[in-house]
Amino acid sequence: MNEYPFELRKISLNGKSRQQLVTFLESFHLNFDDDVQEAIGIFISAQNSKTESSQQFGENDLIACGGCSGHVIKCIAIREEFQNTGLLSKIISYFYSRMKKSGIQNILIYTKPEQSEKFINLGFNAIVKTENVALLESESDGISRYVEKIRERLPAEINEFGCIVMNANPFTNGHQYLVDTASRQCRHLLIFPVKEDRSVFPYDVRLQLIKENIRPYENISLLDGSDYIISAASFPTYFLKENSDISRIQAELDLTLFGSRIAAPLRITQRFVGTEPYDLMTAGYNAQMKKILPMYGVQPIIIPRLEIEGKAVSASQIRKMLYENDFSSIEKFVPPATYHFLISDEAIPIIQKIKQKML
Amino acid sequence: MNLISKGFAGTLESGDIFIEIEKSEQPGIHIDLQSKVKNQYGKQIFSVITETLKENGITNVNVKAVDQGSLDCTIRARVTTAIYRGCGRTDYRWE
Repeated sequence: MNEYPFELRKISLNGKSRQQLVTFLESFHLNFDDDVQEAIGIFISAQNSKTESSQQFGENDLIACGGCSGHVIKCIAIREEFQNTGLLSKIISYFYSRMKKSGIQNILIYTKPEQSEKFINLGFNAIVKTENVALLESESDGISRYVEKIRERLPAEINEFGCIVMNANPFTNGHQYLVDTASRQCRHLLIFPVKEDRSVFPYDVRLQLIKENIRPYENISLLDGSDYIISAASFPTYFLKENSDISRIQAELDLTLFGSRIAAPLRITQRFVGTEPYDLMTAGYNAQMKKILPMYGVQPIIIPRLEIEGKAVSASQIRKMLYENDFSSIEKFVPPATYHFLISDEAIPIIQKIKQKML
Repeated sequence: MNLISKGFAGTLESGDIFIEIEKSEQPGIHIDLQSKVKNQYGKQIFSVITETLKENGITNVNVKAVDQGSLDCTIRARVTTAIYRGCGRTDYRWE
C-alpha cells in the first residue's frame, strides 16, 4: 500500500470534519471521546489521484487518525490495508514530540488491549490491561516510582492499610464522616486525592481543605494525587459524567490499575467509599469496585452516607447551595475549615465559575 | 555549551531515535535508553551518544533515548540537534 502518497493534517473538531472522524472511528468500534482537544488524520494526498493504483482509495480519503487530551494519546485508528506501514509511528511521533516540547514528562496511551504490543514496540510501557482497554506510559518506571515515593512516606511498622480516594469538590461533613469512620476501622488510613484539574475546585484548594480537615487524626496520611487514580487517563468519563458501557469499561480499568499496581504493592487491604444516592456513574463505579477489588486482596467497605436534615450530604449539593448563595445551609453541611474558605475572597472566582456553569 | 532548557530531537519512526536531554544536578552523563536491540547494540548506542555529548562539551546531563533501530549517523545527528536546541543556539557550523 506504499504506492499511496499521503499527508498528515490536523482535523478540525467542528462540524463536518468532526463527524467524519466520529464515523471513521465507529468503523473500528472506537468511540470518539468528547475530551479530545486535538486530532490529526492521515489522508491520501492529492498528487496521487491520477495514478492507476489509486482506484481503491481516492484523493483526500482518511486512512488513519489519532487524537489527544492533555497528556493522553487516544482515538488511534488505521485502516487495515495501511497497517504495518509506519503510519502508527507517524501519528504517535506527532503527538509525542509536541507533548514533550510542551513540558509533559510522562505521555500516556489509551488503546485496545490487543494493540498494546505495537505501542510497546514504540518504546511505551504497559501500566494495566483489562478485557477492553489498555493503558501505557512513556516513562519506563512511572507507576513504580509513584508507588515507591508513597511507600517511603508510610510508617514501616504497619503492614495493612485502609484507603479512601476522594475528589472532595469541596470537602463536606460527608467526607468528614467517611474519614472519621474509616480511620476507626483501620490502623492507618491513606487518602488519595483526585489530582485531575477538571473540577470547579482546583486541585490545590481541594488538597488544602482535605489537609486542614484531617489535621486532628494521627493515623491518616494524605498522599499525592496521580495520573493513576481516577484521572482523565484512567477514567475519562468520570469527568464527562456519562452513565454507559464506556463508564463501566473505564471503571474497570481504573479499579484494575488500583488493585494490581497500587493496592497490592502498598498492602492496602480496605477501600472505603460512601454510598452514592445521587450520581449514577459513581454508584456504578462503586458496584464495579465490589467485583474487582477483592481479586487483589482489597475489601471494599461501603459506609452509609451522612444525612443532615434528612438529606444525604454530597459535594454536588454544596455547589448547588453556593449557586443559590445559601450560606446558612452550607454552614450546616461543611466543616468549619471548608466554611471559612468558602466565605473568603479566595473562593469568589470559584463560586463565580459555579454560577456560570449552572446557568 | 550550556544547556538552558530541555532539548528534543527525533521521532519514533522506524530507523530513527528520539532524544531528550536536560541538564543534570548530578555530575556526569546519565543515559536512559529504550531499544528493542539494546542487547545487541546498546553499548554502541551509549558510546555514540556519550561521544557526541563530549564533543559538544556537555558533561552533566540526563539523556532519554527511545531508539527504533537507528544508525550511528542518525544518533549523532539527533543528539547534536537536541544539544543545540537545549542550548538555544542556531549557529551550527556545517562541515
